[in-house]
Amino acid sequence: MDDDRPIFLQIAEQIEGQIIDGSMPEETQVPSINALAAFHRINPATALKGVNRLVDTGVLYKRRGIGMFVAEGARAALVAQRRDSFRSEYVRPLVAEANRLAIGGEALVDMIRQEAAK
Amino acid sequence: MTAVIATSGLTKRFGRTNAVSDATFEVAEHSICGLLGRNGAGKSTLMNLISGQEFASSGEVAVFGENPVENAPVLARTCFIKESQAYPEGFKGKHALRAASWIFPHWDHELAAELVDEFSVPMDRLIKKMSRGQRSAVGVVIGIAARADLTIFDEPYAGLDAVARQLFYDRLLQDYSQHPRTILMSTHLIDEVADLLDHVVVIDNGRLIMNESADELRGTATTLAGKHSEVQRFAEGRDVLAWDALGGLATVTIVGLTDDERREALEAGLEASPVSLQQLIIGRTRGNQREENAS
Amino acid sequence: MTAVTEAAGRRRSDVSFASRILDVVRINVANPWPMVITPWLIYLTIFGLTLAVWWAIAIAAGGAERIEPDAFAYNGGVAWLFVYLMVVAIQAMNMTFAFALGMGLTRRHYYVGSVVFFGGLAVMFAGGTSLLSLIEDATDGWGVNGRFFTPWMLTDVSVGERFLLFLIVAVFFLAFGAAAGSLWVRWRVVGLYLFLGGIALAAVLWVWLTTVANGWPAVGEFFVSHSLLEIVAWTLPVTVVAGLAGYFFLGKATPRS
Repeated sequence: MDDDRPIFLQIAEQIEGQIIDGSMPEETQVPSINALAAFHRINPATALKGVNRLVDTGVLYKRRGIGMFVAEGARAALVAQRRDSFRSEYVRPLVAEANRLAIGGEALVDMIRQEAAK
Repeated sequence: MTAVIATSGLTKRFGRTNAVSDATFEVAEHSICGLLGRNGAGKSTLMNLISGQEFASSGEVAVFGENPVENAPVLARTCFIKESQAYPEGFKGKHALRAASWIFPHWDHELAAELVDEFSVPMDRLIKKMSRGQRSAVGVVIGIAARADLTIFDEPYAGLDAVARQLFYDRLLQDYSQHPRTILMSTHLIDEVADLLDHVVVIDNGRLIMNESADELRGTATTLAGKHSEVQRFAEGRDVLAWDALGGLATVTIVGLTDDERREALEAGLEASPVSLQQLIIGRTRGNQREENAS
Repeated sequence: MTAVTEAAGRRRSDVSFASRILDVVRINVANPWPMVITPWLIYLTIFGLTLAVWWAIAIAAGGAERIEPDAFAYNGGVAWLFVYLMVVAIQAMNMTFAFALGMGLTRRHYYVGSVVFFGGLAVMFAGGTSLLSLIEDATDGWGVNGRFFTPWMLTDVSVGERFLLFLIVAVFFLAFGAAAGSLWVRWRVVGLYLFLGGIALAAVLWVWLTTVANGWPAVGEFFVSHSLLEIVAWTLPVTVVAGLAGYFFLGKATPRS
């Protein structure tokens, strides 16, 4: 995997990302543990841990003997969750960097407006 | 957890030097454990003890719950491939595979044939006339196709190029997924195998200096870079693995940073980057040397 | 310590003593060339060359009947085989041993299996040589009174006795090789030097004691009054001691590459 945080977290986040961007719609089947392990070249136990994390939070659910599926309402829940952390993860570092560069609050807001309009 | 390997206080002395000192660790059933360390750190001796090839000076080792030394039922479930694996005089590649296929009850002929093909093992060449890489490939094919309940690889990749090594990791992982077994693998190419491992044991000068789950190790250390004064403020009172300064800039690698502290560091204008397993281990082994030099 | 019972109990039945011994034998014959086929080829090549020389001499002399009857009776071609067997045994204790342990065999099973295999080798070579000695008898020494498989002291011995003689000597050399090879694996050069030094010392001591005790006439008497088979049979205790010594040396040996 690309960075050095626990791999199971990266696996979970990647599946979440695919659910949020719509490439893994609700009620579709998630790749098997072995397929995930082989694709990412990681230990299957790690892949299982990542998937189980999503089962625990209700993003995925298990159909006995078939596999894992994306739960109904998973996308909305994930989007809400990411919105909550958006401020601390993105806005705060952005403002901190802006302060260092002496970019005032108004200027920053202008920049954001321009970007959003593109 | 069911432990396939369990050692306690395991020690092996050669003359006055301790090749392995007081090693206590466990390897869970159906897991991949990496035995990491520098050359001469004691990896091979530890593996020889686990496979019953070496006799312990003191301490205990249990494999499948029993002492492995001369224990036929335990050893019959074990396959140990060494870096410079010895083969009988006059053996060609095909003879080694033939002998292994007779011995291991779960041997998969089809898989062995595929691997021979993929690694381009010259089956009709005398093993002693093979290149290092070809000889390693013979060992790798046996180790994977044997499907032994406990498979031990001691730096099995000598002479294999990066492509062949990747093939080895991929095929090992693939077959392990379908046919779970317990794998103990020693290596000093840490970054290459880091993602495959469930558990990491690091040995340095015969002593275990790390014995942890791979997931817990990841993310335990962070490198912070930025203004000297800020970096110093964060490093104070912490477990520091590495410290570097250049003019007004400094970087520090510290252990055990919480998410909140990390955020705080970012807001203070520091750059935070995660530390790879390899860097973490290098930091740890260096630290040990510093302590030894100091004492 | 965590529970280990479940994993330990399974599949014990997979390893019977006989199956493991068979595994060791099969490792040794996985490639039959170095142990079985090559020795015969070399053996028969030496024989062929010797025979060619004999025929050449016979022709040059103007026929076999012109040569003294025992001209071709003194010959040590058979001895080569025994030396080869010793080398086979030494190699088996070193390279094959290390391979077998990697494949999960115990030292005990490895040694017993090797003894079984060596026994088979000895029977095969002794049997083959005895059969060829019968042909040698029937063809009047390949038409030239040649005595390759039945050199001078074996000429008037029955085929059964020949077989036993070959077998005893073959087993002796194999046991000696196994002991020397195990010694090498266990203690490397030091062990081998001490071993060979010990043998030399024992020989010197024996000669010295015999001389001091004025025992040479008795020694001569022993060789004259006993049959060849009786004399050779005296190597059997040595063979047994060497075989057991090999077992104990290897029992605590660690394969090193």
